[in-house]
Amino acid sequence: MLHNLTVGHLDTTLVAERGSRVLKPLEDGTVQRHLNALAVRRDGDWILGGGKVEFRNGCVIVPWLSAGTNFVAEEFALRMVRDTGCQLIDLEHGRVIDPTMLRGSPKNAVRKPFLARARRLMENRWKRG
Amino acid sequence: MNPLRRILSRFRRSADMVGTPPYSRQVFADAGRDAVDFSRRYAEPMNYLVEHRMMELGIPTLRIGAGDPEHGIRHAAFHPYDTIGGSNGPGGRLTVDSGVFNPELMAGTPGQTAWRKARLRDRVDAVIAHEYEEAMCGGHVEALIRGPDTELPIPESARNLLRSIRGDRPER
Repeated sequence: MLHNLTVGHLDTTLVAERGSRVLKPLEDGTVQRHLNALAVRRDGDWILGGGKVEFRNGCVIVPWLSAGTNFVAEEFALRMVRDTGCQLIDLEHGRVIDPTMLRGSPKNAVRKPFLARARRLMENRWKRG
Repeated sequence: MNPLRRILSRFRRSADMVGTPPYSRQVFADAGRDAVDFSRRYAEPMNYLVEHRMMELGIPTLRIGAGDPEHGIRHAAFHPYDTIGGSNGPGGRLTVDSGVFNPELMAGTPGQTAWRKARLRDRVDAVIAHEYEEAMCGGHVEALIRGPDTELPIPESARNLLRSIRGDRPER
């Protein structure tokens, strides 16, 4: 019903049998940098385009398709592929996702990392009163 | 009550219940995790019911269920560890998962209220029809569009649920 994108360094030969073998975990710094830029933090969880991000076995699982397409998740996945050369799979549906299938966000819809950080700092300051 | 008996009753072992009573079990704050927990405990009867329902709807036997080697499931139509409602694998093999128990599965989409209010039977039928159409036409968006008009003999209430998920306004 829904589709998730699993982003990670994976052995894609096992995907058709719904198997996944992680070759190496994703680099934390890169993941954090792109989450800072694209996602928002809510109750200790990262929310990417309205859906919760999960971390499992060194991979990041982002919500992709539901009633519409989560273009922010696509943008995150594309950035991760560009920076780390990782693979994208739809594990539950047993498919390897070609990055060219993804559209990503339009440029003006994506927040810049610096501004995201500044906004978060200001929000924290307001919360403190 | 006699005070002496009251003191004695404190030392007597109560035979009412062994283990943690259901009312004091912790409930997950996250509806999705609660759904997985419930599905894990009732995976076997749910698998039987989902398989039976797929056969009733006329899904070919070879397309009912798939394996989940990551969780040690060789072949099942109900996958308790998945959280996306259902899926279709290579060969058009259909599965239903713990997402059908999650009232928040469609949160943030047009069908969220209809999904929350829907009966489990309609949710399962809607998931099977969606995955069947997705396997037939090869895309999630096409399945969203074609789902309510599926050739499978699902009841009107499940079709209405699929219409709500597609974003149609409810008929008055």
